[in-house]
Amino acid sequence: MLGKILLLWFFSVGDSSGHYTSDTMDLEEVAVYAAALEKYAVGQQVITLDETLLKEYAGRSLGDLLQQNSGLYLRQYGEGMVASLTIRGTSAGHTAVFWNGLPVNSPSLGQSDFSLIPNEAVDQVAVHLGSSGALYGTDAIGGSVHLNSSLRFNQGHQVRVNQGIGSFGRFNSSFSYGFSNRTWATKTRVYRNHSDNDFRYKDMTRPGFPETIATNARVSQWGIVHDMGWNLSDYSQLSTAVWYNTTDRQIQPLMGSKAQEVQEDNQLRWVVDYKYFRRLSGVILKLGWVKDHMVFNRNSTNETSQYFLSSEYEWNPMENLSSKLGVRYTHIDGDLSSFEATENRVELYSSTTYQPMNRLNFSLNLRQSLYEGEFVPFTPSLSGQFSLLKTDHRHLLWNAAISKSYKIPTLNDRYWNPGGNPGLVPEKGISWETGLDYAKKFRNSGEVNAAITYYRMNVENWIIWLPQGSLWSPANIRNVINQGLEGSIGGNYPLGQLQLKGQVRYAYNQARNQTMVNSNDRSFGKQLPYTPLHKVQWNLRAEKEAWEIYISQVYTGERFDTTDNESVVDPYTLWNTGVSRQWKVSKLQGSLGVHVFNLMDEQYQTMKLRAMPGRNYQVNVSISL
Amino acid sequence: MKKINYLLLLFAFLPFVFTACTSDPEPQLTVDSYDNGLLIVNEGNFFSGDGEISHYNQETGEVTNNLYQTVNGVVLAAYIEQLRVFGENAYIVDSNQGGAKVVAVDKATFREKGRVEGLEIPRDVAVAGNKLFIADWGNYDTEGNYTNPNSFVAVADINGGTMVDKIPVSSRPQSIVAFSGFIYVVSEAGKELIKIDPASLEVVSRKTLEASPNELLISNNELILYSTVGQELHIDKIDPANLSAANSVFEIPHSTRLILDGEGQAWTLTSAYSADYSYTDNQVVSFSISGSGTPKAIFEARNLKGIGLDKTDKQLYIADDNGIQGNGTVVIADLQGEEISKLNVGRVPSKFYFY
Repeated sequence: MLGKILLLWFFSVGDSSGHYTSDTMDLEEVAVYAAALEKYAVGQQVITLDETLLKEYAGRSLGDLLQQNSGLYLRQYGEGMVASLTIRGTSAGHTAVFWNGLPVNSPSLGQSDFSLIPNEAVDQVAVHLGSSGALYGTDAIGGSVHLNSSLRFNQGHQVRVNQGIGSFGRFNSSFSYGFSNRTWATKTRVYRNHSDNDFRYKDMTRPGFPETIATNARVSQWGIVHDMGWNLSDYSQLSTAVWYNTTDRQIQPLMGSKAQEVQEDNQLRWVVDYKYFRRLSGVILKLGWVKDHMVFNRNSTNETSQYFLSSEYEWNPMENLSSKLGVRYTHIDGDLSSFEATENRVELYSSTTYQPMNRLNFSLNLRQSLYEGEFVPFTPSLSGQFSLLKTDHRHLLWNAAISKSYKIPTLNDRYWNPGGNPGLVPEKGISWETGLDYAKKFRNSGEVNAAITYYRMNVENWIIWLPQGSLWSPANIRNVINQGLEGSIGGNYPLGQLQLKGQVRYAYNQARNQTMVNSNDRSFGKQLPYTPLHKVQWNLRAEKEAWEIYISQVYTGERFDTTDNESVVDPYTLWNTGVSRQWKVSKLQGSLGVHVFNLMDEQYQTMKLRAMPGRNYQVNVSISL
Repeated sequence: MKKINYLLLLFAFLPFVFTACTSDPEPQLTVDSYDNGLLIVNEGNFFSGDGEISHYNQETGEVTNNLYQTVNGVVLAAYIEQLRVFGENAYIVDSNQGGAKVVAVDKATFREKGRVEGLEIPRDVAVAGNKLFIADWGNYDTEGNYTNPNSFVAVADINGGTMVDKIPVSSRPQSIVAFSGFIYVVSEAGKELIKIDPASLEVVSRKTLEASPNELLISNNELILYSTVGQELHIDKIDPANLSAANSVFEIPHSTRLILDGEGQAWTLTSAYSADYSYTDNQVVSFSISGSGTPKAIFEARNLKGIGLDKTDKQLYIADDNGIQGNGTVVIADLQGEEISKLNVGRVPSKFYFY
């Protein structure tokens, strides 16, 4: 009974193909409820990363995975070092990041470091491109990243062991155990990742570019994730997840420098969800705690804690109408090396998805946030999808969206001593996008899909730190106009016993600075620093029985390292390839994979003077029951 | 059949489209000579290693940015504290964290001759005979108090190479000059003026200073000490024999740079904070050393980082860092502060050397 109700919610009113379905699936496959992102974001672009990709990149960070597979660009300050995401030409602080529905961006820094997120710790990753302040709250100006655990009932015992060894002293281990029956499910996983990162690179700061071994770049990380769920009754479910992650890193210095800095990051995330559903409506209560503790050079400590309490009421009065109303309260405690601060935030939000006719589906989202008594600009968004063509085998959809977004100034921006500016107002954005989505199924069960999206965005009151004599201080002075194009083509095709899969992604992102610091500033109309105009990525995979082989290429266009675009960081191309084989011996399943990253041994830097490794290898073995 | 070909074809040609070629950068052999006009120090942004030298050819009007990298093909990776020219060499003083160095280049071709490494926080250099003297703050203390208790003057060959000696001096040696056969260095935190014999490398005499010294200058064959004391600007003429000082005090607050024309006129760069510290305005103030007349502000802007004087052409060069978001600008003005032209230079221009 519970299964059927949950699934009605899951699939009601528009999945990504704009088609209303009410399939019911077997009770065994019912999952702990996680709202599909697309449910209230009809017509917007969501990239879901495949679970196999997460397994292939086990032992590496989510930053590495996104850089190689998503068409998005990350600013990586070296191998295993800080990796910040930029979506649609916006800054690192313009991507909202969620773990099981909890916002996890640091309230002091206003962003997340993707190099700290190991792929074994999460089961599902989805990237929602574009402004979505109404849906998710602060920071979702360029887009948002959603990390989820997935827990399934009725799976019995499940054990999985993974071991990876790679170049530069890479050693990754993980172990997970889970058990679930009809009423409850539990899963625990532990991981440990280590890398010496003593890779070779050509030192561009010395005559002759001598080959040098990277020093002071060692990374050591371990963590534990625990998920639990109970079906309390036919109508209610309680679930919780805890994640503790600790990373000890030496900070890779600039080329030519022998600086020996270190950083320790300890992170705790804990969420509790209670869901209650009847036929036409349901309530979700969420409790969360996100704690970040960072120690720089062993003597400078920064700690923040966020506490969340939210409740949502959702109802489905008709088959084609679904709506929810929610409120979220956040309490933030910051104990930073130069200041202390607390903050309280309240958000009221509502989302509605309506399908007035078979071909048209749209979502309306509204949100009003309040922080420390200040109102954030009202944030609405409207998006829709219209079926131009729909048959059993093909569809062509036309998507459009307009949305507002905002970013609450970070604690550091407001209170850092010296320089913090408590008078800052929220950054804000408005974006428009439109695009087409095409998919076709072939008779032999192959399929192809293609999508293209054009977007345009204005971001205002963007905060940047400027020097005031010897003191730096932030101000809401930057305005940027962004526009771009995102295209993708993918598909799979069976060729006898061979199954071919492929994907191409192209992103063109223009981000034009509209600000001049003074009359001599040559930055007006120029591309923002470290925002490539072009990024292309493709991969091709072939599977045959137990074997799988893949090859992929990523091209990142040139980036400018200053606002006036007078100097350039070279474009680069990376090739990756790998082969893997699976075994099955009674109940035991195993796989062995060999991967080669940067196959062509390209000397490249993502950020100026931050060396990156040449060709490197990794072997992964996994066994599961 | 047709469908298979279409899909495979799509993937087959892709690898050829996106193969990028990169080749190792090669030094560009150039026959230009750079020991004319002026050199501009672009400090660079903190922790970015993008400091570089620019050259301005006053006859042709040509500006060469990234001069070191253009000539040598190697990234300087520096935070440049100072540029000095002695004899045949120009010296670039780089205090880039973990990679501090002094690079000696041929002043005409700008090709590197050698470098002194293993430094901590070098600030300035001077040359006497065949020796190079580098004033270095030394490392920060280990208790996290941000003091520099181990400052020193390093000694090396004038063409670079390994350090041969280290002379301990008081904390934070800011400025070092060679004057009438001796080396003089002033320490900002230690508040001392120290005189060193370049032959024996011994400290010959020391004098405690009342104020925090900014810079030692040589003007009109005299040794001048420039300090700021509270709201005042001090110009002291130092007697090289006994280190006594003849004081001149000027009521010019918040000054950060001083240039002298050797004929009694001086210019200084000052900074004034707004009431709520939300911005700083900088002024170029012109005044007479003899004390006649009143100091006059002749140029005003934000984000000014340095000033220089072209004595031959009688022009002021004023460096504007444009808020450090992008590259900087040098404004060329006449001695009354009227703008003549502008130059597009590198990241955070702050110092000048005129040939």
